[in-house]
Amino acid sequence: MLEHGINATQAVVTLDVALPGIIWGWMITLNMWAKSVGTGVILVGAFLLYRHKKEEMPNLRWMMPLISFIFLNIFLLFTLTDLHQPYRMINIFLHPHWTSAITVGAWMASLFTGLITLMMVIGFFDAHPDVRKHGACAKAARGNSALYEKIFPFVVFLAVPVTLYTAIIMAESTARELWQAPTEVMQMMWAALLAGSAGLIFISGSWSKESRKDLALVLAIATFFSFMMYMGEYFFSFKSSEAEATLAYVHSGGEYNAEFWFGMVLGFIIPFFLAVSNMKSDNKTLLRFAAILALVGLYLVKDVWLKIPQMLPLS
Amino acid sequence: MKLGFLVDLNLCMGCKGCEVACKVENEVPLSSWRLRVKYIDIGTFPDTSRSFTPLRCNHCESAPCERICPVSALHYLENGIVNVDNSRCIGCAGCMMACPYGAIYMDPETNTADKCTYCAHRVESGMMPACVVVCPVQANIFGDIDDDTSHISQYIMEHQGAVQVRKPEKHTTPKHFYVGGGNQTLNPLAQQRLEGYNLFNNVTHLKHVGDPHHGVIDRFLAPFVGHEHLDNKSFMDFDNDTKAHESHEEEGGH
Amino acid sequence: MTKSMKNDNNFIESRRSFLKGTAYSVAGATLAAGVFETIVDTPSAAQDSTFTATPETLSFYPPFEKWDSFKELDGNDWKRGGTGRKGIKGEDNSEGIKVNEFMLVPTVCSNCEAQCGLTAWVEVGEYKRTKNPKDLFVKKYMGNPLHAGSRGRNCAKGYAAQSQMYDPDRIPFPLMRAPGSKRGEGKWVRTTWDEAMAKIGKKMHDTLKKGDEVSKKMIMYHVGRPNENGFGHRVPHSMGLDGYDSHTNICSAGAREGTIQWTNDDRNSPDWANAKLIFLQSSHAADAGHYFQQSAGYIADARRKGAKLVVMDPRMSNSAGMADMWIPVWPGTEAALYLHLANRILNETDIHGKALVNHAFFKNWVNWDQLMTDKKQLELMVSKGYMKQVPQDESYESFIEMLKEIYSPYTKEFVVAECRMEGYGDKLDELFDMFIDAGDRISTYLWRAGTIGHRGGWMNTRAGFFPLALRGAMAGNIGGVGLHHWHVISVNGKGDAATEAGVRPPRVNVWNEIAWPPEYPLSTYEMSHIMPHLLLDDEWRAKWKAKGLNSIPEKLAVWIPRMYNPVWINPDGFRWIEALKREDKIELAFNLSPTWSETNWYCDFVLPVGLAGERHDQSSEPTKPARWLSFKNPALRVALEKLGWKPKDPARATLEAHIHAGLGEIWEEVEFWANIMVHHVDPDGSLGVKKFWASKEDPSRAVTIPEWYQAAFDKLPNLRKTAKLKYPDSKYPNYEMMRDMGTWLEEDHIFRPQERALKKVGDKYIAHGHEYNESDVEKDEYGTLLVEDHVFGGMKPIGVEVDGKIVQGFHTLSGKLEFYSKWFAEWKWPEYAIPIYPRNAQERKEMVHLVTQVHHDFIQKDNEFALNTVFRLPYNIHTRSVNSKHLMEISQNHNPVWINTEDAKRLGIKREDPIKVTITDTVSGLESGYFIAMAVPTEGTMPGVLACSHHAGRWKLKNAVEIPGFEHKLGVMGLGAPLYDMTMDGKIGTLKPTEGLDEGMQARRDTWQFKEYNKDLDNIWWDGLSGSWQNAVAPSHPDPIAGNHAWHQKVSIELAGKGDKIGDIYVNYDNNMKVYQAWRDKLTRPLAPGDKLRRPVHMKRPAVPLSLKAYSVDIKG
Repeated sequence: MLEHGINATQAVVTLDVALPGIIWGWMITLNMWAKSVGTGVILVGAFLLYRHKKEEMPNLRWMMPLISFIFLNIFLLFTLTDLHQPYRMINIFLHPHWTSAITVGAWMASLFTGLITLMMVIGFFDAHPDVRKHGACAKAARGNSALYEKIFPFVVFLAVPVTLYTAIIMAESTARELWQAPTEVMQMMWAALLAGSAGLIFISGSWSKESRKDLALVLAIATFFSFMMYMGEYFFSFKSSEAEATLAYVHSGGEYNAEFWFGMVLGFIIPFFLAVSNMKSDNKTLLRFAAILALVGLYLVKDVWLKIPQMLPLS
Repeated sequence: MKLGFLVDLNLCMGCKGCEVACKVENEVPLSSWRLRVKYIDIGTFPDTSRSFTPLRCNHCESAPCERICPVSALHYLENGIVNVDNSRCIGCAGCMMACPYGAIYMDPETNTADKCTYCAHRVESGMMPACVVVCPVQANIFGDIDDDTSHISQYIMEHQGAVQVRKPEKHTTPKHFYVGGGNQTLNPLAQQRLEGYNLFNNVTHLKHVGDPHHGVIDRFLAPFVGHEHLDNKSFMDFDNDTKAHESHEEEGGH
Repeated sequence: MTKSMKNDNNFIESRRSFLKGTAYSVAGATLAAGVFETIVDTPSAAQDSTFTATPETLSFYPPFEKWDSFKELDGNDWKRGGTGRKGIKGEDNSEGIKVNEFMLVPTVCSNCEAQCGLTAWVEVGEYKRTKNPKDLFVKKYMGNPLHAGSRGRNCAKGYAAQSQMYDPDRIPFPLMRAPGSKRGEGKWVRTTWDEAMAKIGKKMHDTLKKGDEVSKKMIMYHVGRPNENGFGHRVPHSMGLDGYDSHTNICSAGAREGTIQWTNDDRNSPDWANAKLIFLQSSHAADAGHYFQQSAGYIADARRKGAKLVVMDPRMSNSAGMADMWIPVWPGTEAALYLHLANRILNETDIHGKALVNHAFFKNWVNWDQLMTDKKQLELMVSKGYMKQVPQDESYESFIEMLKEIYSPYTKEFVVAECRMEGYGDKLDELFDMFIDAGDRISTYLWRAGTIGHRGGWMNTRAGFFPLALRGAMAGNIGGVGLHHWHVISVNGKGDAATEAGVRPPRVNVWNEIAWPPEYPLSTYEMSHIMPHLLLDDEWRAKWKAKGLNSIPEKLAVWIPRMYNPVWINPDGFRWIEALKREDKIELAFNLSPTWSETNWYCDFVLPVGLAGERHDQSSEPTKPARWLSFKNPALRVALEKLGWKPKDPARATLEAHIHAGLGEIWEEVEFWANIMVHHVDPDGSLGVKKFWASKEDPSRAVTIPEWYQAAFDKLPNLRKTAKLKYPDSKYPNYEMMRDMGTWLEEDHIFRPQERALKKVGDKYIAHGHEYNESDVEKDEYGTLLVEDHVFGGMKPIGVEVDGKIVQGFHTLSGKLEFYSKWFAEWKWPEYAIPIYPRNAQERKEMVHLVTQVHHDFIQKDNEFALNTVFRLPYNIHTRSVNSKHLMEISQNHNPVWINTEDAKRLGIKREDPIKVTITDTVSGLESGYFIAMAVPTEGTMPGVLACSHHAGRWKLKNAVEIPGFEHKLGVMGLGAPLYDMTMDGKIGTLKPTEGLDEGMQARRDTWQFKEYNKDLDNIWWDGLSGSWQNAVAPSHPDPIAGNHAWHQKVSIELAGKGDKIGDIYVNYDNNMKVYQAWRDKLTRPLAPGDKLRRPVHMKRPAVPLSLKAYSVDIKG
């Protein structure tokens, strides 16, 4: 651990217990990654609907909540699975502790998922008028079609805190100096936009060039700023000895150096250029490729950033 | 009342009495520690010295674990102790991520978070924590830091300038003080920690958080399978054996 | 603890009145006071209070009155959120936090020699509800606040008494080697105590019946430390045998030998708490082992008052690491440093020009006059070159001048070179300044490492006490050095009055050469560590037969280790196994042992006796200038009896109680021996043994515990008086008071007893409980009062005249401290009769007996080192740590081979490298073999000296043993001993680890006893390989004079080869036999023609009192 030292003060631990290793592992990575997609598609979708006519993105109305629904459920499943006492999840609702971002997040995410489910159902039946023509719930859904547009703004608004609360959990992880609220908040937001645009890219085949261009634009901006923020932390967190000690694991020679740079290149650099080029000349295949890389890279980076602060001995 | 701890590192001789006293008093399972004593060798031959640092929960006044706990399993008692309620804990390990002192563990028996409670159950019975009672050199001092005349308050005042807490920059305001410590002893980043010093085992880090023998699925099954009922009787009923093996009349003879 | 409380006088009052209470109940407020010395806001015991989160006071222990029933919340149940969330359990609240009702049964730790007080916290609440005795459970062991020595404090080993008690692999019932199987095959059948006693008793009976001289040497009781002091001795004594072998010599003979020469006492007894300088040689007193926990406490008290702590040790022990100064010196050369201090004290003056020697003390209390009148000795000293000529006159002044000359060669330069202190010689000056500043308040405890690691280690003590004597620190004064027998009480074996005989058995008439071979007449205790060697050495026996010793036994009929594991802990383990496998040499062997051990594996019976809280015993140790004693209780038995249970047979109550409470068929020594003697060894009394064990109240049965200890404790006047007062209507007041208190302070503040006037009533002097008519007392030219010795003939001292006053004096022949040991000179060692140390290479050859076998003279090659083996780790017990999951967990992997970083660099050895450590003897030049261990470079050991404690590296050959007809296997040392493969062919022995312990444990979960307590064993994270069995590699080489095994070894190291695994050992134990012979034949000065006695009669001769007949000998030419 010791970075610099003189012989006179060299201190060597000669007897101690073994410390816990990684406490929050791949499940939490997956959870954050999936949530980025789940909220991201809503945010990006909203942006597109604001910029373009529905008709340019025929399937968006029902596919957007569907994707969100799927990934939100992945997110919820692993949140639950990571608990050592999964059934006691209920305690968060019976005994909520409001200073905890976990509590606030759980409540909002649940509400959010509920609303998304509703939108998905309505969106789906509207989009498929022939499915279960006389089904009661289908009827009800179609009957309240307008509800979709009514709650959508609120859902978009809710998507923001649902995206960000994990950053606050990390900020509340006092033991992990590397995670500071402002940076993590932005990281989460960029991650959501990145994942959201990437997610929608897969269903944008039938869309207008312009709308796809906007998707590429969002992806480009998201990858660009994510990369910038990571670089900022990677090179210039030297002020805090603990953060610097943590970053030693990603700096050259560090255990996670390779994984980190893979993430950077795959997730941010390549997709950025592909997205930018796509804004000039539309190429669906390349754009999908960029989306895949972005999602893979994002996972790697999230994973590294989650694990390295857990490598430090705390006492 | 605000209960606090102080360890005088000038006196601690590293006997680990407190470590075992704690294990016994609180039935802390193997591979988990509420209190541990770390040995650190400092300097070079022949002027080397060794320091022993007992490490336990700081019962911070602004406790990150209490803040992050989603269900208030971690909560304050009126005497300032940060207590744990493992019947409420959901096992999210947020507290383990939050505690800057690594003082919290996931109990492998219950799969819930746990930590030092300053022997709250003994305090409530009017008794000193087990680690204070055992200490051969009285290096552990426990008492009410709200009370300026208490022994601990007086001790702190006597040793002004030499009193430290761990990681004050974390803004946790610990209620656990050290006298005679230094950066080398209290700051883990100032120590060379060659993982794997668990020499013959090549254990570097504990492999598990919580119960190592039950996977994710078991967590969902746990409530339905449950533990077999155990007791502390030996594995045999000796009274029955008495008949067979205890015959006071028959003296053997020659 | 609130402000209002503080300003409230009643609080202070309550504290005082408590003290008064305690003072009354335990005869000395010092006891309770010690508990909370530094705790100004804390009474020592709880007030009446219901449970509250904000108690007004916090206590260390419940008040004595509440020990039979004290309520405390349950620590484990508290985990459910505490009373704040769940409330307190009761009829109205079944979900509440459990309240334990504890009965505190005082007992004594037996995990080291310190004998600290314990209280067993027996949970009796459940039992009171269910009436099921199996619900009695010892929730924890804590300290005993009434204990004057330990003051309610303990170390890790004390609290581990519980995990030892509930060891998943503890032996639940007596075992017998399966008929038809060989020793060591590991085939066992279940037996009963009665069956075992019948078989063993018959064998002992038949042996005794022969009645000839040899048969009186053929039963050997071999007792490990600690415990059974006094009582164990009585076992062979009562049978008229010289058949006692203790482990004692192996660990401390060297320390004792030097102390005996100065004081004729066993060891010194420091007053740590009041010292100004704590000067430790080796880590022993403050790290582990002898009185560690208590010493540490008193040393801390002294340091709080500003005392300095200096530790002299080649290895940076825990105490060295936190001391004011650590002085690393080459192991075995400490004497040179001590004599250097003497040199400066003698030849320098203080800033006022005043002498540094405390003449007032030294002149009065040292036998200088004996030396000055002994021209023969003086001339010998001249001839040896200690000095130029015999002093002109016999005056004290000339004596001092002579000393100045003798010790002037021990200069700083000499010490720096001899002790290898190059580069930090200035520490010597620093030490000297501290030494002088402390005046006569210097405390030390010369024991272990330096004194027994080496050939000539005894000179460590001899030289070590010299500068202390010069400064007056040996006067037994406040903050100085006192003596063992001033502070220790042993009545454990003195319950004779309760027996049919009513008196002590008579002196024994035989001398057992197996324990006391003629080569070592001055050995301080039995030569137990060469017992197998002697048994198997026909040549040796033949040689002495020819010299007229006709009755050296060729074999042992019965060998009885007690809680002792020589196979593992003694050197040359394969030799022990060899001897044990020879059923013609050891016909019957049974171990009274609570735990599995390597030795049990080769015995015929393993009889499970109790641990700390499961038996009776009385002990007392010199940990402070006071006479305290400890009394062990079997916690479950006492609890049951106090709650109304009665045994069927009062003489077997402990066994019945343990069975009743489901602990197992666990017995205790006291009841066992009484029963086997009365009913099996001598059932009809024809051998004259029975009467010493049969009850006076009812001679048809064995003496009971209350009877025995009532009689034993009756020897202590203050105890007797208080007991009568407190238990007026009891039949056994002494026993009952000790049962309830577990400790007693008979006398406090004992300083300078040698200056006490010799008791005189009318014209009779009273010394050591005997009366002597003034007319029969003569005074010799040195002022020593002598009376006729009716046992051994000649005269013996009873006191001494010091400036005109007749005082008790020291226990020496002269009544003074003996700078000159006349008897030692007469017993063939004149050149070493004063503190001395070779001054150059030439003298190191001539005075080889004073030169350690690991002296740097012998370290020639680059990869040769001295291996420092004799240090204990604070949490390690010799051989009972593997029975405690908690001790195993904290002691894992802390015992590699520590090597100085520079040495490691030089040899290209990196951290965690496996290295091969090869042991070579420096007397015979023979190689013993090697062990593979892990190297860890450190700044904490001196260059050229490796450190690796010999207390780690337990092994087993089977994970568990099948017991025919018993549904469960019995696990073997599952918590701490890996599985090994062993080979031995009579010459070469090897051991190889094959499997860690985790597999073994998991594979047999159903065999874990005390399942609830042990349910966390599935979290064992270590594999148990915590060292190599280096003891087996080391040859047994006894110091030619003191007789201790010289523990340290000369080794050479190299990186381990491909096939080598940490834990491997390879031993040429054929060579080891030759090594022991070489040391015996080249270095000792055995009994010779003309010798009339086996040993000086004034010197303590453990453990059986012998007659002159036994002492007498006539060696043929």
